[in-house]
Amino acid sequence: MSENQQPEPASAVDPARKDKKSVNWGTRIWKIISGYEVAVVCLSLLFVLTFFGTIEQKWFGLWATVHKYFDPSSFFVVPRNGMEKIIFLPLPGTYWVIVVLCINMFCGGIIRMRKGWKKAGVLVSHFAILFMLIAGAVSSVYKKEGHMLLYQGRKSDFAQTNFVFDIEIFKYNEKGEREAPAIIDDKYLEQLSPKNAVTATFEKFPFTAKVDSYLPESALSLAGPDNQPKKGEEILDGFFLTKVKKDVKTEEKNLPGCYLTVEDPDGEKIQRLVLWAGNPYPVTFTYDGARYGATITRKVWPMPFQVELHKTVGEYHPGTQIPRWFQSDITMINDGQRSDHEIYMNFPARQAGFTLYQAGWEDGGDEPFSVLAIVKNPSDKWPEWALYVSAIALGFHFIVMLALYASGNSPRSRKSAAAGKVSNPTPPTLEKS
Amino acid sequence: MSQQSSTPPPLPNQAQSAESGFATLRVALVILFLVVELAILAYALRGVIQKDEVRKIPGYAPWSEEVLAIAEQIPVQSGGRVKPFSSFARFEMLKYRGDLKMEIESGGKVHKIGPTEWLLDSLFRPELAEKLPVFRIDDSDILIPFGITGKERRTRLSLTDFDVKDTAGNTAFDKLIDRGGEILRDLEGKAADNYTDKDKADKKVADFAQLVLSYKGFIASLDILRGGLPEVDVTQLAGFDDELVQQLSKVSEPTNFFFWLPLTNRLAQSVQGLPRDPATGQLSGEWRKFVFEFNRQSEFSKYGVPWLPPVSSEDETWKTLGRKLDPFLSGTAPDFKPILEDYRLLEQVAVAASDPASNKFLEALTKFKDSTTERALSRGEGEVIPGEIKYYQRNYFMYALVWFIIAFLFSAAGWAFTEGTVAKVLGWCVTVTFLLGMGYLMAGIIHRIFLTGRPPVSNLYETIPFITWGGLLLLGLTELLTRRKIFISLASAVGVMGLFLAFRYELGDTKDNMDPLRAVLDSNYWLATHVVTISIGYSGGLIAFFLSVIFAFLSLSGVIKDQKGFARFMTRAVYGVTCFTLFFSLVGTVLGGIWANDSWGRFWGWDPKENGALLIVLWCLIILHARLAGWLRTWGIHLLSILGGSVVVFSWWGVNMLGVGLHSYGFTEGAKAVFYFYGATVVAFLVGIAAWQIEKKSKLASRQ
Repeated sequence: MSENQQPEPASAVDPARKDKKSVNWGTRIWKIISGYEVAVVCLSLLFVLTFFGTIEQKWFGLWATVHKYFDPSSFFVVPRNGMEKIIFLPLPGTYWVIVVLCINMFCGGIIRMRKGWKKAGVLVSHFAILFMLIAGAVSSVYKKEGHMLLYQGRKSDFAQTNFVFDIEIFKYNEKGEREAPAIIDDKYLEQLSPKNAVTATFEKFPFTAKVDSYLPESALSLAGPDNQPKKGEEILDGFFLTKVKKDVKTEEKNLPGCYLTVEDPDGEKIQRLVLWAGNPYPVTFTYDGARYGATITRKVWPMPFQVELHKTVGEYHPGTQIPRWFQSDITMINDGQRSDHEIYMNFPARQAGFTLYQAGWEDGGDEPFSVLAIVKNPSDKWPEWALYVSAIALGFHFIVMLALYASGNSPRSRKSAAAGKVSNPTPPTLEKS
Repeated sequence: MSQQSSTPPPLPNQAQSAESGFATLRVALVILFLVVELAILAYALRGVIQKDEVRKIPGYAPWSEEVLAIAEQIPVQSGGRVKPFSSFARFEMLKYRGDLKMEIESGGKVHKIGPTEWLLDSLFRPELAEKLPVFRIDDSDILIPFGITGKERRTRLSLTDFDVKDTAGNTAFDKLIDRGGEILRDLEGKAADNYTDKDKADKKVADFAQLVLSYKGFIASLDILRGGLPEVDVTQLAGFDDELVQQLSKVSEPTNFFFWLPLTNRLAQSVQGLPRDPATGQLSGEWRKFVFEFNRQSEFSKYGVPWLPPVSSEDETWKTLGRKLDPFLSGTAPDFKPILEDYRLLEQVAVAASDPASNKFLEALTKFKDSTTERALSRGEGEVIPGEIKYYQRNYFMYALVWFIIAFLFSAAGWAFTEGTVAKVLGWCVTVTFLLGMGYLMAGIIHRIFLTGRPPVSNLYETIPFITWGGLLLLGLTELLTRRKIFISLASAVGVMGLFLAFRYELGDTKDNMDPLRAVLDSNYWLATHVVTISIGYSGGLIAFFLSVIFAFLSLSGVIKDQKGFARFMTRAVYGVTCFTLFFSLVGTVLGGIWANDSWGRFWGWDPKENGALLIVLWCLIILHARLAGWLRTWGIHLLSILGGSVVVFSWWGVNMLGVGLHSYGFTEGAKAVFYFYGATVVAFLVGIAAWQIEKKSKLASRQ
């Protein structure tokens, strides 16, 4: 067979079209969801969404754009160019397009796909990529991350989440130290608006605490002759909370605030406080002769181990402000078991399902410290495994294809083909007969 | 009656007429599209091939070869590493002038000045340096408010060009610097994202003013060594510090800064007691001039070249003379002795520079070079200096560019000879010249690897020669497999384009592309795996693009005799290269995710650079799956492949212009070439559409 007479390529979809009328609905649906057409549509949508989700970051920043395009809660998105809408027709959310693509890949790229040694590479790579996408889904649901601030020579057994806040109320003991706090969880705060309130009762405290006027993005202002509330905000101890515009580019700059009323069980108001996440110190009050503190703060994430920072060091390239390296020498103490680690850029420490990264350091001043990013991600290593598998599989597949192509396109083959001899049994061809 | 009778075949002259009509249309369209593409290219290159002004500077004498050979070896620390004086000069000259040479006419001769000569002039012959056309300006209209008029829009200016005075006697220099300061104060605290168009225009003026001021400081940086202090009557200090007066009275050269240095702190205290003008509160007469000049010289000495190694082995930062003197002058490090030797050696060079052709200057320069080199080596620094000098002298990429141009010319000639001895000879010429170009390109890349101690791609500049090399290797191997000539012709053209881009990028970026990396990037494992792999993916995507562009133009022109066979061959080639691109882009992208997971704790963050890489993967997958779905055939594949070129360029350059994301180390400004590429891609796409439609109509006509 000459090059001109080669059979139609991998048109696995086409035989089905011949007997369209005779197949039942189940088969038809199966063919659709496992077909190349769905794959192409999903890939094209992903391309468009990724493109707009990239350029939109110029105006709205990374966090807001990622949330808009790639979050599971986004079922539809409308791309924008600056403040203008680009497409009036909403596009499906990226997360859900990926879900459809995964289903299609599983049905078409694994179950329905022709099995044979020539297709083995593609089959395995489909499986690996599916596994990688599942790793992403697992990560989006179960991944937890936060930061641990560690001063040199000290230990810590908790991290703080990056964007989630809750209210802590605690009692001071006789030495003036904080006791274990009671928490008003973020899930209650998230439901609040400036106009409604939530009241919390505590097992360990005899009073209740009512949270109202909650603002997810706020600033604390000092009242004065030139700075009076413009919208009737309440002044407490000379301060008042104001709503500020959400910083879409730098999410960590958005600091919540609220008013907190401490009441006794009869509903009598004991004290009213203003809490703001940018305030590094708790606001204190007295109840029944005991001193208490309240603060709205980044949610505490207890660790199942302790981390001790022995040394934090770093260097800049000489004469520049470009960091050359920075490192933390730590010991992780887990159930009495001690393990030493050196954490530096590109070399995190892994322990008990947690990964600790060097996020920042300050080795000058009186108290050198490190900021460690802490991540717990069950699918931490899955993409790596998937990569090895898919790279080997795809490499194998393309080498086979190349060998077939080369055997059909060498000068000798071309001469044979020109002479009407069979040269290449099954080369990939793109022409339809 | 049969159906045949109702649709009679066209008469031969009708069919010929239709073909002739298509041929005319083809030629017209090819010419039209080529003109548009060339217009885009010409617009993109405007100013690049502009003839530069030859500045007349009477009395200018070039530096001797011996002086240049010594000067270029002097170690300098800049950008976080110790490098040769010539490399420092190279990127300083690019920063100011945007070019690596200038032409000076003197005594009826034209002298070509390179970076080392320019820097020597700037340091040791400031009176000539003021006249050198150092400052590149792309829009001279912004200088009209300061009194600089009558210049071409894109020009180069010297410091003396700013000497023009207005009626009030203010120079353009003073007005520019004042305005620059005002603008910076106005913009203080305002985020660059919120700049209005006026703010942006003002910022350009402020940046230019800063550049001019910094050069002014630069050429005055060694004034401190030249003995230019006004003479003063030290006896006037009697009564404030008699011991000081006694010491100063012994000074043989009171105009020399050096002799005042050990006495600086006591002098400062004594000067406080001198009589002052009651109206202004300022010192009067010669002492006022003295203090002004003393402060000026010590301040400007902080500019200049950081070529003095630290005294302490624990300190890593090399300094300029002024920075070195700073602790002494401010009284925080009262012991002047550790820097005495440096001061003395430099002073000898500066003084001898009054006669730059003399042996005295060469000897002083050699002594200074030997001293700093010895100290650098003893600190384990500057070992690569000889190698780096050789790297730039060998000019690998320029030679590679020349060989690729020759190879392309041979291959173009070869298109006219398809058979016979001439065709064979030309074929060999193409192969040999192409291999020579590849040899130089590879040698340059390998030499850089040895100098930097890093894998071949670690910054945006290095991606260009490497991606070019990857593309050429791919095309070369394909040529080896197919022997169709087209691939080696394309490879030569790609070599020319790639290396030309590398030169233009280096000129525009003006940053030393061998400087060390920030901590997050400083991983040879990840640079060697992720960055190399993704760069090879870029190579593949661009080669597929070029193949499809060639296919579109050749198909439209109708010069291919066996169009069907050619289409099949080219489509297979593009399909194969798309598979190649997919493989490397996919592996490279995932490797990047794994690196990000080890660096930042997340595999994927939808960062623009990550998304750019993903877009290439998705584009390749769309092509491959749409083909399997039967939605794409020959032209569909080629048209998507042409658009794919823009996807690659968006990922490679475009995302850097967004100014967001964690890959901020890769950001670049003014990469307008990206938009010209997009424009050229759109034209190529239209060529494909036109060729496709004409092919369809032609087939239909021939069937009828």
